[in-house]
Amino acid sequence: MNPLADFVRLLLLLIVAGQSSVVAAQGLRIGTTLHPYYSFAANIVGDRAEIVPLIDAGSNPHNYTPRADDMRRVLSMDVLIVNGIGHDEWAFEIVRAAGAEGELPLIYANDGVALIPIAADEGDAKVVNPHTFVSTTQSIQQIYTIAQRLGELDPENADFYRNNARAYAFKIRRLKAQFMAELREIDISDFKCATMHGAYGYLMQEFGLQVVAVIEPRHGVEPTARQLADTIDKIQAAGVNVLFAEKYFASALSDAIREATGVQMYAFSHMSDGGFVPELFEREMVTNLETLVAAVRSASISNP
Amino acid sequence: MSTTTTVEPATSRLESWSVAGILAATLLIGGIAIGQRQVEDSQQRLFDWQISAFYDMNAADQFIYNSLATASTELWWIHGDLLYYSGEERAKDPWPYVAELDQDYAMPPFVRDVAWSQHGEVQWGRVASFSFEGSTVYHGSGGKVPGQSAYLLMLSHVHKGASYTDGATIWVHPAPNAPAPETIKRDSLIVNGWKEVVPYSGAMEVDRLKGA
Repeated sequence: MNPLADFVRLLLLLIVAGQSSVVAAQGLRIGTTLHPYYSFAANIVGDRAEIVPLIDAGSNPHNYTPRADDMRRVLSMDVLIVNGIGHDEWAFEIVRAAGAEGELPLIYANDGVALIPIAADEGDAKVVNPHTFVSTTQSIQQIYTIAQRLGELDPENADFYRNNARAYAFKIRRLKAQFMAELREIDISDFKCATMHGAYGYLMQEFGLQVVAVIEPRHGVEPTARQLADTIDKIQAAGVNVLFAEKYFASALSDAIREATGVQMYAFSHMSDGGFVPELFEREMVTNLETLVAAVRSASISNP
Repeated sequence: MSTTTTVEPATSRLESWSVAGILAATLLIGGIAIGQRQVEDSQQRLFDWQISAFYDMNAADQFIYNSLATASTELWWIHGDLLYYSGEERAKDPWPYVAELDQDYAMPPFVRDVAWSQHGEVQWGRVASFSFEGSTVYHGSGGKVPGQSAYLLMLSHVHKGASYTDGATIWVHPAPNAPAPETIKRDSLIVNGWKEVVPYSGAMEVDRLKGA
């Protein structure tokens, strides 16, 4: 052992580490609220910026309560990407509580998205469906918006972000095309479904599939006994083949509906669970599309 | 002998002023409160030659509109590629053909997949004859879904002050077989029955939620 050589090695390591942190510090530190936005941002910026989830993995974004740690985290960000249309209102509470309101740039991912109402919602007024990230087309629109805004904040990398956004969008479209090809071999003209939650309207629209009823249009707002009875009548009258419930979100209601109507039940991912990883959106989208194809195929066999 | 005594209120002037003051204060406080609680309706007002993508469209039209809106961003980027990186010959014709959007880009609503079939098998064409008007148009017609429209995606350089920006507008016609118009001047489109589609965008919903 040579203490001098060890010291020099340590010194070099410190210098290299210091240089690495300088390089990292030059890139943006980008905050995200929901899981898909982490995936979108990570695929856009590659290794030229750091992505920081605002809340810990495993937290439920539907009923999230801000914590002290979140404020510390938000203060370390250069920009925060938000859904902004009803899915991450807690993020604004965190920003306000941290005193960063008006200081921290926000990217509203949905700015350019043409919204649709919640499918089969029969209230007096049409209600906006905020689940734009459970889709491919509306997700691509958000990816473009995020890339453009990040490019404005970081002009040196604007072309890099835009090219990555385009490549990522193309990858998502190709992924959808595989499942479209599988569906082409099945007669889907009579396919009718109901969904437990309003999250899947954009996805169903992309495939031209009809949603006859949404049992619980908004999370946590269960239907009354009368509304449930009406929905069951509607499902039976319309000849609904399949009920899509939600993965990781057990509901006694779905079991009751299945028993009352005899529909087949499948579960979709809401894309807001698990760890924050770049591939989450694609992985969960594949799972959802596999589920969709299996459900449609099964319904076509049951109703030849 | 009777006597009449007139009793004057000792504070008549003060009472009148008090009532007037309370009235004025009530009006003032009410006015301020109404002003502060007023929420502007974020839904865009429409002219009679416009329709809302959110409120007025059936499922097929809504799908095609949303797909065109997303496609328009990338169409400008592809246009840039063709103009600057695809050789001199292609630079003279720098907008992608429908067949390219279908086969090379798998881009809805041009890609002929299940969604295309489910949404009426609309026949798309690129109309290049408008280039002298500074626009390129994609025209869709022949949709088979009952109640379906014909469609125009117009990609134009929008003049904003001293600079040009890339813009896109989408129009629909209630007759699904409406042919591509001979000119895309707004007044002409309106006279010929075309309606401009106005989205209910995420930005508008953010304004509504924040009471802007």
